[in-house]
Amino acid sequence: MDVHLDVDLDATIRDVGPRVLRYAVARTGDLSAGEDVAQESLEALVRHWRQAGPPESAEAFVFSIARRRAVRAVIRRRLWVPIEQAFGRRDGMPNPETQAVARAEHRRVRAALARLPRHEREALLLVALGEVGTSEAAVVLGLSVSAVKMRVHRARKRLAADLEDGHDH
Amino acid sequence: MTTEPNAHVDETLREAYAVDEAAADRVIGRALAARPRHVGRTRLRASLALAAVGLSAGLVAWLSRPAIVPPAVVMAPPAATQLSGSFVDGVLIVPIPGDGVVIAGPGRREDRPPDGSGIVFVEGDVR
Repeated sequence: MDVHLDVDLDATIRDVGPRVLRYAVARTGDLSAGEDVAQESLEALVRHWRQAGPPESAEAFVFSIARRRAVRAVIRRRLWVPIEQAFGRRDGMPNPETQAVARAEHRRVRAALARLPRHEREALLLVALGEVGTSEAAVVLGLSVSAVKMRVHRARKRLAADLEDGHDH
Repeated sequence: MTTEPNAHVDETLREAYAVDEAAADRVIGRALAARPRHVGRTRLRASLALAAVGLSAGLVAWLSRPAIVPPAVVMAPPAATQLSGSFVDGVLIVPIPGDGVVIAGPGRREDRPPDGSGIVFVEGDVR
């Protein structure tokens, strides 16, 4: 095993990890689901790196996987959450996500984010929360760079206007 | 990262979705400890090999199946008397030429004069 490769991998994971976690939590709306998504995406990168070397863009690789897994996690969550609520299931540990959601500002931002058109929201989450470069975001979303820029720009404008209005449903 | 005038939106989002450092460390630690999935790949290869062997065996068995040999046709000797008859209600009626007919059955043998016609029970294929 190449020591330099492992050092690079470690640095990459430590750089991308928090960003993909933040993105995944925002996409799934749940900390534990977001953690699972982020971990699976990072594990996929680790395996790929160790078996076939680093991908062309580690960011694009991880976020592409995270994006797909987040969709599945959201679907799973929609199916399971009502059942868990019906049976009153609660995790033993306090959920930091729940605590965060309880904050009024967080709730307001989430509500404003939810009102964005889906394709704009997706682009904004990648760029703003994932801190993914526009060209990598274009790879992840399968769009041109200019299309990504346009979506992000519109999403920011819409979100800023929404937050300034104090619109909260 | 961004130079747009609405970049403060990004900051607001990041604050709203600030991740717990412990959670990030947990995710990173687990990801770095991930082991390669050799087992899954080995299983896949073994399954493919098994399928290939099974397919080959099936092909060989099919190709080496015994050829269907048509049953040997027993031809009547050249000197045999040619008889002709007809089917009536599923019974072949053949007129027997000659002075007598031998009726042979389990435990008995009987000669009878010909009546001009007789009943012949035939087993096997009729050609």
